[in-house]
Amino acid sequence: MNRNFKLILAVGMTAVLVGCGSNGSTIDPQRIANRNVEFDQYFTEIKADAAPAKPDENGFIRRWTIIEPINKPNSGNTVFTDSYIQAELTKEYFKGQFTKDINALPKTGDQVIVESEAPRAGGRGGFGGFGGGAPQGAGAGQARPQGAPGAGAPGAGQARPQGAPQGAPQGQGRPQGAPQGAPQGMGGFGGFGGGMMGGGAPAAAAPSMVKDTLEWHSVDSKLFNIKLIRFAQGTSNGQKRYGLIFNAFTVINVDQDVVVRLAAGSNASSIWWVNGEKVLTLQADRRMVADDGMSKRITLKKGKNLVRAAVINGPGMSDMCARLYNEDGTIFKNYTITNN
Amino acid sequence: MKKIFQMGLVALASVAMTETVMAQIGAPFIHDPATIMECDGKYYTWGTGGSPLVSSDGWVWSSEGGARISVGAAPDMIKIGDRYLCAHSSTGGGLGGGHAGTIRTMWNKTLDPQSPDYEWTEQIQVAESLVDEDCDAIDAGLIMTPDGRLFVTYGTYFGFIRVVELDPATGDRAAGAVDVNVAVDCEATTMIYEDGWYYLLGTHGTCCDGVNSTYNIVCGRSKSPTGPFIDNVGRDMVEGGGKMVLGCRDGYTGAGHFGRYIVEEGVQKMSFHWEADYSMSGRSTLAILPIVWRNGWPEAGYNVKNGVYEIESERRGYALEIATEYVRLGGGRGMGFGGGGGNQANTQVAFQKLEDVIGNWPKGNIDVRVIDYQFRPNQKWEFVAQEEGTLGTPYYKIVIAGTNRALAATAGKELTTVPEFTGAPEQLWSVDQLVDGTYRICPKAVPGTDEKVCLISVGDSNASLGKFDINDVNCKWNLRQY
Repeated sequence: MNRNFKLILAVGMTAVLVGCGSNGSTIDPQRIANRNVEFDQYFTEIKADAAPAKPDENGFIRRWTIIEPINKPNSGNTVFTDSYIQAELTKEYFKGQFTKDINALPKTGDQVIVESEAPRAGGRGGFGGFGGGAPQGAGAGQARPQGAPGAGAPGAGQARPQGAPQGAPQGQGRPQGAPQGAPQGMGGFGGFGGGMMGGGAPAAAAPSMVKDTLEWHSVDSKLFNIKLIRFAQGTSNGQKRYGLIFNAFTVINVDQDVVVRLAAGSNASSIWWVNGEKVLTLQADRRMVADDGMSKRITLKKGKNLVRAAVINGPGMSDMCARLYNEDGTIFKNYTITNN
Repeated sequence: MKKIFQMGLVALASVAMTETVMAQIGAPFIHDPATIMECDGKYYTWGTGGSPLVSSDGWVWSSEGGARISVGAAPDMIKIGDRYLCAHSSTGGGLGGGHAGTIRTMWNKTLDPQSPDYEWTEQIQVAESLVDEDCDAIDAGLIMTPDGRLFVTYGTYFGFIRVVELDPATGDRAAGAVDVNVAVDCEATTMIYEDGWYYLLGTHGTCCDGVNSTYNIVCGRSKSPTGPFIDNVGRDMVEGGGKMVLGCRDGYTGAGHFGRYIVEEGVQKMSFHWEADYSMSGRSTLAILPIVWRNGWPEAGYNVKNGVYEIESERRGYALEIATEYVRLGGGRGMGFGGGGGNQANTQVAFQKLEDVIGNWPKGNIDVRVIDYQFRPNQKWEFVAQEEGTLGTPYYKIVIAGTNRALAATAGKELTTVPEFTGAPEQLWSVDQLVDGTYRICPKAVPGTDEKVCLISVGDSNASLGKFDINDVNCKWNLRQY
């Protein structure tokens, strides 16, 4: 597994420096130092028998076992309606995906073969960039003509292929025929090119399918939130970023029965289960906010309790965070966290 | 061609005024408006792509008279000394693309493209993001702190929002400045200072989805311009926190891209765009609303909707009325201590109606006074928005409901009501919600003077015109509907 994004960084660095050169100035390398996005910046892989962890000082659960993401390409995030989330995040892609049996949980390094939709060719659109600021030359951020490959990460930022249903002609704002009964008329604001957000409608044609071998990874996050996009990149040699479903679990160990609430945030939609019971759904296109949603009261049983999360996102940032609250609104931290 | 365009504006305005007074009229189509700037008697803003909007009164807007500027995404403006500093950005693809953004600044002595001084200086790149890092350097927002330091915030939904100090003399980065992460996954951030706090405002929700957009403006606050910015439940904006300033209102979805304009002490406006204005084909439009500060947090206030109101003095709580003969109502229970009615069934006491009393009102001008509110016809004022205005709000005619008898300013800075509204400047009133939620009511003009005055209480029971002072309770009024 190659978790190195030096190619991406090199492209980005070149773009920035070229952009700078356009006005004759130079950028102090320190300004852009330490901005890499390597897996190790975000996660520490742990062994199956790692010593139990504790929640962090703010109660966030940082230890999770996550399977490499399943493809679920979406050009936008506007498709994440309640019914879509329920259908897609409870769909069983492999045997045992939703097991309630703690003794049957996968271990880090276990692999499964998953059939999923093939990523769509040509990246996922974007909107052609806002290029007016660069005075001249091919600086970073200049507008790319629709259809021209961008200077971005592999597979990203390219224009939507001809004939794809989500796009809009450049300069026409939101596409006609947007979902959910948008009134006829302009919509949007008429300025952006390639259907920035409105392209949420699923493709009408049956998607082509691919089989992936996906591996489980037990990790401790170095941040309070789990940067799923970086997990995806780091476990796919940079090939996976957007249009993915993430499945994760963790085990909460308590020394007596306790009533709590699970508080979570996710980018974008997610469903959360405790001991097999669905306790929280965060629907719609949303950003990760700590304590965005909170479950009803849950009784954690003495011993091991299984917390499971499934998160879906189209393009954009993907991450999640979770912690537990006591009934009285204080943060519950009297437990340990394991990966089995 | 110009005449046709102006006729079109009037037509558009007429349609808009029948619907609402919550958004600008004319052709205010824009996305990501820069903080509004005033220059030589006109108001200016620019949106993504540098498209301009201009207004001579702050209420009717169009692109006419403006010049597109060479910017990418979401410019912002600030006036420093006698120059205007523009910060703007370019990005590599946004939602599904790369995130190699740049923030650039440039200066101009004027915003009027007809001025011989109109010329943008060479751009300076002050911040940037790599093609794939936890930041996308777009959506610049500028703030000058009370001690004269200049900062720019930037970033978008892809990772961190950052702030970095600039040199207010050059617009370049301040020597040794370091970019600081202050929030996560916002768009269109900017910062304002109020009463010892720095407020970081950003936009959450879904952008660019027309009538389905969930864009909403949130904020956190800090004692430092570099954070941490904490919301009203103690949550750091780096954890996604943010208290709502404005989201959606009936007929308008997706408030985004906050900017503040301080008219004067006590009168603040927020500019932003609606992702979709239902009365304008669901297009994205410029909007300007008052800012109300409640318990230390900014909220979007309200322009007065067309309707009938009590005009209640903040001073005493009495109501403005025309000075007509008091007509007692029949019925009721006299002393009203509850014991007089025995077991009789309750009946509805009839309200006093306009037709019950108007016949005895004088036919000419009638003075106004302030007294106990009893929902009598001479105390009910109808506000009707007109097709011109001031920054963010239309002028209103204010008439006794059911009549055309209009409140008017008179020479000598006093008040009267005239029997027929004519549209004369002394009969037009700007109504601005103040930072404390009360309203200021000002005539467009006062005969014989250029002095700017507002409706004031004099004593508990009389009204006049006088100089506005946010700290003077006499200058404030509440508009009540029951």
